[in-house]
Parts: sequence; C-alpha cells; structure tokens
Amino acid sequence: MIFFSPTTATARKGLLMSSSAFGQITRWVVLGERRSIVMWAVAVAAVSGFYAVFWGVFSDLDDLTALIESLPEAVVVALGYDQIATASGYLDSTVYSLLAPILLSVFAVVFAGRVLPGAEERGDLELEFAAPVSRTQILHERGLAVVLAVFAVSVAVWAVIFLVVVGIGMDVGLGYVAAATFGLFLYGLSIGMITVAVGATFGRRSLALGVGAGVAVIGFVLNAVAPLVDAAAWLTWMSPFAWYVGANALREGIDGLAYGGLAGLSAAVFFASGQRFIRRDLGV
Amino acid sequence: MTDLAIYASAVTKRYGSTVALDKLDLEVRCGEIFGFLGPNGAGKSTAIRVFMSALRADAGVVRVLDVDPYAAPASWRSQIGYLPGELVLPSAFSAGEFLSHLARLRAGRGSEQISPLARRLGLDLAKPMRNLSKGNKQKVGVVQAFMHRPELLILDEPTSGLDPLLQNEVATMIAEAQQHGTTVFFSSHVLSEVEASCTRVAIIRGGRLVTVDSVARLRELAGQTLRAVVAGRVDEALFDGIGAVTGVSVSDGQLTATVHGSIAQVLERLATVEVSKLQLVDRELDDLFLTYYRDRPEGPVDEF
Repeated sequence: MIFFSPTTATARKGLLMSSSAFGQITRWVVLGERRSIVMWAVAVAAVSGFYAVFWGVFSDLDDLTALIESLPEAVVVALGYDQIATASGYLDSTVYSLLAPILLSVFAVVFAGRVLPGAEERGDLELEFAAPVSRTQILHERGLAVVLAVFAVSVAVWAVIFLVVVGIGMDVGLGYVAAATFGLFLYGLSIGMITVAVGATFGRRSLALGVGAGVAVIGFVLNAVAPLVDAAAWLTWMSPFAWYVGANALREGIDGLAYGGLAGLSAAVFFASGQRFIRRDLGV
Repeated sequence: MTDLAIYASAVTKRYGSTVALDKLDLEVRCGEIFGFLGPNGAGKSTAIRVFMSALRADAGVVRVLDVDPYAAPASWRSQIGYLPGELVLPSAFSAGEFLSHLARLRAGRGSEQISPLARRLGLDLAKPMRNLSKGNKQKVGVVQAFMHRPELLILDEPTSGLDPLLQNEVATMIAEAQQHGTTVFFSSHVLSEVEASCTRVAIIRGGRLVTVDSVARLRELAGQTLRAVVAGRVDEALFDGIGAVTGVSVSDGQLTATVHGSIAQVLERLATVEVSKLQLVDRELDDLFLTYYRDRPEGPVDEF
C-alpha cells in the first residue's frame, strides 16, 4: 500500500509514506514454522488414527461390557467409558475426549508461546517492530498464524479419522466426525489464544506458557472431577475443556452455545490483549 | 523545530527502581552525522529504543522526524533505518529471504538494493543465517538499515563485530548516506570510531547527557598518551610549565605523560634530552571518563 500524505506534519521533501499490506508476517511465521506444524500434524493424526483403528479389535471383545460393569460407576463416568462399547463412544473416549485435545493443546501452547512471547523475548521481533507495521497488525498476523497452525493439525486429525471410519466401517456419521473435529479445533484454538493473549499482555514467555498450560490442565481435571462432587458440578463451567467435551458432538453434532463460547473466549482474550500490547514496552 | 531530526527533552525512563534515562536532553540536526557515545550501560540503547517507539518514556518530550514516536502512525517508521544493538536474526532463513521479507514489510522499498549492498559488504545471501559468523550477521543488519534509503538512520553500535576493513566500508556508507541528505545517529562506546565521521558527539553517562561537542574538542580532552624511552637523568620536571601536559612520570628510563592539544612544546622539551624511542597514542573514551569525568558524574557540563 502506497499513498502520499503531503499535508501531515511528517511530510518532508514529498516523502513517500508506505506501510505493509496484511499477510506478510503470517506468511513468514508459517513458513518459518512449517516443519514443526507438519510434524505435529502428522504425530497427532497418527496417534489419533492408531487408537481409532483399534476399534476393529476392541469391538470384538465379548468381555468388554462385563469389564465396564465391574468398575465403579463414578470411575466409568469419569473416564467416559459409559459409552465405550459403541463406535462413537469409543472414538470419543480414546481420541476426541482424551488424546487429540491433550496433544492439540500442548501444540497450541508451544506454538503460540513461540510465535509471540518467545519471539519477543529472543529479540526476533525487534526489526518487525521497526518496520512500518502497526503493533496491532503484528499481533493480528501472529495470532492468525496460531489459528492456521491449530487448524492444520485439526484438519490432519479429521482426515485420518475420516479414513479410519470409512476404512474399517465404524458406525459413526461422518458429519458428526466433522462436527467433533471442529470442536476440537475451537478447543485447541482457545488454549492457543489464551497463551498468545498472555504473551501480548505481559511479554513473558514463561508466564504465557504457564497460563496456557494451566488453563488446559485445570480445565481437564475440573471436567473429570467436578461432576463427581455434587457441590462442585458447577465448576465445570470454568473449564473450556468441559465446554468442548460437554457438547458431545460425536453423537449430537454441533453445540452452538458451547462452540460459540469457545470461539468467543478466543476472540475476547485475543482482542483484549491488543489494548495492552500497543501500549507497553516491547522486548524488555 | 523542523530542522531537528531527533529532539529529546528531559526524557526519563525507569525499569523498576533502576533509572535508565535521567532527564536526557538531545538535539540532532537534520543532515548531520551525530555520534552517541557512552560506556556500556550508560543508557544508549534505551534512548534509541525510545526513539524507535519500542519503549515509552516515563516523562519528557520526544520528537523523531517531528513526530512523537509513541503516537506515530506505523508509516512513520518507513522513513527510518534502524540497526538494533542486539541483532537477532531468524536462523532458519537465508539472509536473502530475510531481507526480502523486510522489504515487503516496507511495501517493497529497498528490495532492489539488497544485492548491490550485499555484494559491497561481501555478504552471502544464500547461506542460512544460523551458519553466519557474527560479522556476517552484522552485515545483514547494516544492509536492512540502509537498503530503503531512509531519511534517518539510527544505528546502535553499527560496527560491532566487523573487522577494520568493513568498519571503514560502513563509515563510507554513512558518509555517502549523509551526502544524499540522510541524518545519521549512531551510538558507540569507542571514541575513535565516531572520530572519523561525526560532526558532533553527545556523551551520555548514567542516563544523563554529559556533554555535546565537536569531535575535535573531545579528542583534545581525551588527549594522547606519550611514552618515551629516555637516557640519562630525566625527571618529572621536564614538562613543567606546559599546561597541556598532565600525569608525568619517569621510572627506569621510561617516561609517560598525557598531552592534551598541541604537542609542539612537548617536542621542544624532548629535544633537550636523549630520546631513543617515542610513541604517541590516542587515548580512548574509557580514559576520558576515568580522568575527565571521574569527579563530575552529574551532567550537563557546559564549559571545559
């Protein structure tokens, strides 16, 4: 984008004012991190696919129902095994409520921590800050890189689960798989955006990683433990993980409230952090 | 005020209880090459990062190209070439990729200068930057600061890590930029480095401006160290009466003294004794601080 502004106080010698179009920084970040994005996508998808494939073996076990019935009910519910004998229940318990969100949130925290607070602490952003690009644009472009990276890993999970469901003939609707994967993406995104937002606000990588990981871990524990204690059941509302798994998308499809809540949480913390990011000292 | 490229008045910056800048005053005129001298930790980089809008001053007035950096639109930075004091480069990319990226962030300006400048400094654009030596990394920083022909160059220790030949080349580039109308503001902790190119020099210490003066005057203040090997009976009284000489000592036929300004009288006196070896060395900024500013850490000093 090039424009002349001969009337401003900064216009000297007919100077050419220029600033940058949106997208170059996002492109640069994704290009720089492409190897790690691909490796994570392959790894998370492979683990998810590996467990899903086991349904072929698992569903043949006659003793399965007996095993589950022998466990205390609270434990069964906490582990999400009450539905494990069905294809959707199995896929939910092993992949969508356990391995995929854990791995995706680890990736989201690590990736988000690297592309904003990590880059700032290392000094990688010093020349970006000196370029004719506003801080808001820097934050938005780097935030977009997190969205794209989490999306890429989620798509890889979706593709592999799609192939497994079709390949071994699991009794799960493909529309439900897509809905659950979309929820997985929104959950991973919320953890990534919380990490970016803390980084943008405070400029400390360790703090951003701690808060991002903390929200993921505490959310996971709350979701497992709170329903077991009647008085604490309401606490699950504080857990983004509970919003995601509570939607039960593999059986019920998209839950507008839960998904909207996750998307809204991501957007709210991200855009709110910009208010501090454009004002505070950078790289100190 | 429009003839000033950088204007700072009573600028203060604190980090917690540490005062990095203490009511710093500075005026850099358009078109000049201005040296910003001070020992390590004096606040040079902090001041520069305030000028670049990375930091916000706690108090005081800052204008860079007539604009308050903190309130400046992003496009304002397109008129500035900045070389950070602690240059960090993305190791996975080559210098060429990185410089092209920076040119795109400046709406393409300067991309045509990447190859000529790299050739001039002997920088390999294709190598991944993780494999570049410290000197070669510094070349990347120099190229990106100059390539878009900015109106103002803010260079934080531009020649650090470069060998003497390249230091000269950068000095030449600075002089050329000035001839094209660019204002150059650069920091250093080495007096000899600013000596060749600067018109005026500011000295900063403890976050305060100690003095602004011409390089020649600072050189005179710093003085030269004289070392002579003398035969026969020579004592400290040899230079008595010459105001420009201080710190005379003689031991084991080794005579040392510090000379400020003209050495004519000193040579006359030396001619009266038998000298077998004579050496005159420019003193460095550290020496200037040690002797001249030792007893007055608080600036500004108006008169010498």
